Amino acid sequence: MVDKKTVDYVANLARIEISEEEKEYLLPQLSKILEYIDKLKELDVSKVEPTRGAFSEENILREDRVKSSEVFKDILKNAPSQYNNLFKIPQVLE
Amino acid sequence: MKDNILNLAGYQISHLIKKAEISEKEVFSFFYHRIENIDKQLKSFVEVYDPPLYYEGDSSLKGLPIAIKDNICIYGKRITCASKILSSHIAVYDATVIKRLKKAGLAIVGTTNMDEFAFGSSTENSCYGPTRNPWDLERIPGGSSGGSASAVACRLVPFALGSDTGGSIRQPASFCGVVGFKPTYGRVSRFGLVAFGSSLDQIGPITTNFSDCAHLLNIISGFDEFDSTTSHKPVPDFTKVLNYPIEGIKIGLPKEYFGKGLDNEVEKSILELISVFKKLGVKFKEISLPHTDYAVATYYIIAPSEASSNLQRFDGIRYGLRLGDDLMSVYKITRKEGFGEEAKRRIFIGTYSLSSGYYEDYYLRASKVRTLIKKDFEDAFKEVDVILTPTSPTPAFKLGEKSKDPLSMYLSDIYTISVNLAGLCAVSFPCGFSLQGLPIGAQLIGRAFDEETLIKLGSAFEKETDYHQRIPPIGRIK
Amino acid sequence: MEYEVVIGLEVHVQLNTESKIFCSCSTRFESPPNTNICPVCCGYPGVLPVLNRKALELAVRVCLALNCRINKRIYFERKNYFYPDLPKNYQISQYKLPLGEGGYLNLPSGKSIRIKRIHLEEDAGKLIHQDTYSLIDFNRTGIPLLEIVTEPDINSPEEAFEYLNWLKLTIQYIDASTCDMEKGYLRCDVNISVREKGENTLGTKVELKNMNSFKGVRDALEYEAYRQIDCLKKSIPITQETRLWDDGKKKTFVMRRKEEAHDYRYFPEPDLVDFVIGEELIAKEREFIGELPLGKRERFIHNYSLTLKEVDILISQPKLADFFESAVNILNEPKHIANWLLGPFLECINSLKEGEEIKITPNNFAKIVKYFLDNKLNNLSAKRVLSLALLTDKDVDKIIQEEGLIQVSGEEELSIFVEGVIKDNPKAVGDFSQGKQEAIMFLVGQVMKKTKGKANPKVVREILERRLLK
Repeated sequence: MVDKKTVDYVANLARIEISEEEKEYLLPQLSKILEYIDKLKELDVSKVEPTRGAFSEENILREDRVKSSEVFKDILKNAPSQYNNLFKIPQVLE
Repeated sequence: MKDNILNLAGYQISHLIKKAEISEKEVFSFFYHRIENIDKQLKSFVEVYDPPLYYEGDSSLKGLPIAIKDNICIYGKRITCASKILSSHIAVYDATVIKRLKKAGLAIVGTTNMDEFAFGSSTENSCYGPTRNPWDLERIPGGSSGGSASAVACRLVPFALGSDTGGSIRQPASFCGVVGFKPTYGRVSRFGLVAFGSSLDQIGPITTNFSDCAHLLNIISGFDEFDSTTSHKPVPDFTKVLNYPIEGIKIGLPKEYFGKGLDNEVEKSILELISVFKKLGVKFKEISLPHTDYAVATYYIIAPSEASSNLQRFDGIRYGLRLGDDLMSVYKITRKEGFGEEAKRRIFIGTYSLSSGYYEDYYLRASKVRTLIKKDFEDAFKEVDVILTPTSPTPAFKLGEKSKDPLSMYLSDIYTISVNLAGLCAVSFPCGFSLQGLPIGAQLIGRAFDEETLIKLGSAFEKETDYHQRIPPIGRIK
Repeated sequence: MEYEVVIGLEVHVQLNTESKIFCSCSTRFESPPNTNICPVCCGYPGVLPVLNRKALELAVRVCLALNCRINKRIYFERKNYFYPDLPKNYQISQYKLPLGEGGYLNLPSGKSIRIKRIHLEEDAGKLIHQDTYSLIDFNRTGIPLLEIVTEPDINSPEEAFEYLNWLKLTIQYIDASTCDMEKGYLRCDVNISVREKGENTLGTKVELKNMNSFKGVRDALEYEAYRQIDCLKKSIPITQETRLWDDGKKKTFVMRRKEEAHDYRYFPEPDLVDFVIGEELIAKEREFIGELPLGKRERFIHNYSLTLKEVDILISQPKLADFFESAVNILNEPKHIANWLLGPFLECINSLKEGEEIKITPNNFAKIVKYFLDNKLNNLSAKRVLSLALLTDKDVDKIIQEEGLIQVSGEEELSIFVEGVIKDNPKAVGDFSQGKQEAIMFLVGQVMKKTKGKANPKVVREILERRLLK
């Protein structure tokens, strides 16, 4: 079961504001899903290695070469706010 | 000639263009005309490019239009993933598959609707509203590549690209009566595909027939220096196996896929399919994939976990939507307003599964069960060459039928999910129709990097039946 | 009551690569803001990382130089946290299975500092704080970083200072990083706690940040050790916190930022494959590791009769030490070579202008010293030749010839100048005859002037003495 405190904690980790109404329907939904997921606990996996991915090739590397491009101009154009080619954001408090 | 191309496969139309029996312009206007007339009802497109993005290049599909799921980057064009958080975002680079399509001389006509960030099985979770199933407008087309499947089924384009994380190509292909191919993980570059579950995602073609499917796979497959998880394995010419004998191929029927919850009509169609294959000399064997029952639970930890991390970049700082005043509210309000309900649900489940105190019981445990599911397939493929299952337990369901109950929606992917967890290739293709006239899809699952056997079987079946040639009623206009 | 200080250091160094760790953007420091950026390092939708081979190789090299056990198979993980300088809001790093573990660095003092772990990760961008808003430059984002973490083996601020210097030198020796702290190529966070001597459990640790030099680290630790011991003495509880060093006020302050419990949600990075660190790679990197600074120091002390200070300066720059040895190989006069190298040579280098490149070969350098020792160049001329030879690869003989600087020691030739000087300076000659010894130096100087510095002053003096004492 997930409680409100857990939802608040997770919402903060995920940086998503959620309203009390949202919590009202989210809580039972999440609980139901997690309850279903809990069926995994039926299995004994103590001797099983986890799978990290579906791909088994190794050592895929690129050579240390610089490719210059003008793409930074497009990237700056997409910025919600910028100042002198720097991304502008609300003040970051250290 | 122009009236006739509705019933032709894409590669046949391209052939006619090469022989100058029809011009590219005529082909484009034929399909644009259809989009204009039919898509008002379907809403399968997010954006239509008129004229298309057309590039000089050559291949067996040169000159043909193609539609792209709205989660694949096309330079200079909007890429939205059907999410408010990206609604005005312009891609600054081409996905590798787009580069390859351009080099092959295809023309991109637009982007197709999807569940937001590919989270869903119905294309209802889109900020643009749902796409309809062309066989019954009251029904969903499946998802998340619902726009691509519905557009192809109605021949608004000869083919389209989709992406498949847990069935998002195969399930809509099945619901719309087309061929949807999920290549082996590592066969097609993911570079430029907006990530959902990075260890599960794969781009694949949605076509009306296996020939076009093989031609498209030839174009998009192969190693990419920008994707560390593409294979160096050589890519065969997939069209070479289109007319291959299939005698002696051994197909496994996993008993776990034919039990409770399987619709009678779906089962009946699969049995008919089996009898067609038997006539062609295919051998069948009952097999077991013992951990099938745990696949959905495993998937709904792994995929949301990866997604929760992948979606953290949508924060209002560098691109996309920005709301809020101070930094914390830029994060929290942008993401609250920018993400839809299902996206938030998955972010929550994923963040929860990875967070301290829950990691061992959720993410880590699921990664271990994933090992068991992979092993099930490894064992099965020691006995058989291919596995045959239904693609979905039922034909397309009604709009709104499952959208209030996320878990029941998740469970509709029960037959497709294991393939992604194991990184295998699989295809859904039409194998019948329900009494209500809804398409029914069958799924063939192959060994990793053995797409050829699936194409062999599928194309052999096509020669025996006409399901792949049927066009939904609303698409039968000239 | 005696107290013991316990310090652990966490150092980040930027590896010497041309391009970033996961994309082909340049790592150039001087570029204008946001010009070395691309969709990959800006965390654009759809991008994927591909690991830079050189970054992995340099990381392996550092692990070897610091005597680490290298894990055969490694993988990357995502460290998830929201911060505006981190485009993906996760950092690709290593957590469970770092590249290197269980190493150590020996210090000249004889102490060995254990290295707990070394791992490879990507750097974040740079935040520029303004009055009412902040700005971000992503040029630095994705530059390869190596995190080197010690065990809490360091017991004084001075020892931390020594460790940092030797760590930097070791990494410079193997060309893995320039470790230039001013440019941020080396950054250091520290953990410090104090306890009563003999106590087994560690005290509450405090993390210190914002030190911009090794001296700053030492000062901050000194202040903090004092502060914490003072707390213990007064029974004031020490709180576990992060404090910022203020270099102007020479004090540490509690960071204002709310301390949020970190929940980084590490999990394996699915966009990268596993990396197997094979014997071949290890052997190849081992070859790049020549003699390390501590070994060189001991050998220099043993082989050359130099002072410790001279040795330490020589080995402080691997190029300088190599230059020294090459010159000694040509002219077996280590003491004189060292004198000339650490004196006039370094002086010349310090007065170089920006962009001037030192081209002098050890062979030419040894020649100049040899000319000096053979009395063929006097001190002044030798320095002049050195300054002329520094920026060219022209042969020293040619320079001397062109400048006509060869020392004149022939008595016959010099006598002519001596006679002239005696004639022109009767007052000095008179002073000398009356016993004023220093007057002779004035006369020698006059001869030097007349010969444009070419005369051998020793010979001039001899002639003058003979002539005037007659």
